[in-house]
Amino acid sequence: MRVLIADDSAFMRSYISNIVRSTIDCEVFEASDGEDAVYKYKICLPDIVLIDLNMPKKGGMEAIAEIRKMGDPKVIVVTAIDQDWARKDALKKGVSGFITKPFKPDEIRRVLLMTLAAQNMR
Amino acid sequence: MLQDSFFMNTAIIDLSGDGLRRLESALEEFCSVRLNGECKVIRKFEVKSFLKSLNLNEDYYYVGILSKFKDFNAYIMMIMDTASADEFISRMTGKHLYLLDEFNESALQELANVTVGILSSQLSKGLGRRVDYSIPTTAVDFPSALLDLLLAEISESESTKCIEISFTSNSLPIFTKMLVFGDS
Repeated sequence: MRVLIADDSAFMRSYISNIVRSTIDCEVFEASDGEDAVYKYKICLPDIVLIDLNMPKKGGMEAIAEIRKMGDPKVIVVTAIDQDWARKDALKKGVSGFITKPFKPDEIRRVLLMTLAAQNMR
Repeated sequence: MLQDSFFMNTAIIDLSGDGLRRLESALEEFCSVRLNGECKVIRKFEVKSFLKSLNLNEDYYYVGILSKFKDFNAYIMMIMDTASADEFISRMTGKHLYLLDEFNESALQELANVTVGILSSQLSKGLGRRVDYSIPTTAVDFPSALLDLLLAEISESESTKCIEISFTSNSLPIFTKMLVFGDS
């Protein structure tokens, strides 16, 4: 299992990475902006992508759209943007989960495990 | 900037009420510490008297984190002394702030990111459309220098207002201010 975490905050990448590693057995890759997320997706081909929306170079929504052209990973949005347009746009892009910051570690765990359960049921 | 007045009026109503509680709990969530928030609206903003009114120590270094709302002439600055920044960092990362490196800086930026996110969510509901904001940037300097960055963008006019939110802790030496500036 491979997981890509895309967030421009080094702190947030490390925080989410620790939660993910403590929840599932996986290899974690990190990206520091939207462009990097697309690039890392291309070379790492992760099964799950946790991605922020407000990032430099390329926003999260744009990065998800580009990633979708290359493959079909499960995508979980983790963002401080708690606005209707973002939820609707994410839904249209087939995102599996939408988590708003600040979050409790259990929220990441719950959405991650639900996403994996849904994938195994397919 | 047709809707600047709506922006500041919504921000004033929200941050004087529920918004302040949401900000408090968001910061508490990140830092695992109980905070007390207070909100003050400065209806007549004057550059000269403003810095003095903030009661910041002119000889100390402060950390300032600035974000701009897109489509509005409005800004948010989170400002804290380095001791408070150290407390926040140690609560969030388990390490002390010996150096404001990329990791520590990003932890402080995340505090501002969440704060701006909460306010923009409320504004988005009020306006019925998306409200974008810039990625927060951090600087360390004397208070006057930090505020110069902000004041250069804000005009001193009858219509300029500021919302000043202060957070303190009973148990830790935490003192931080959030300043929301805009035309109204």
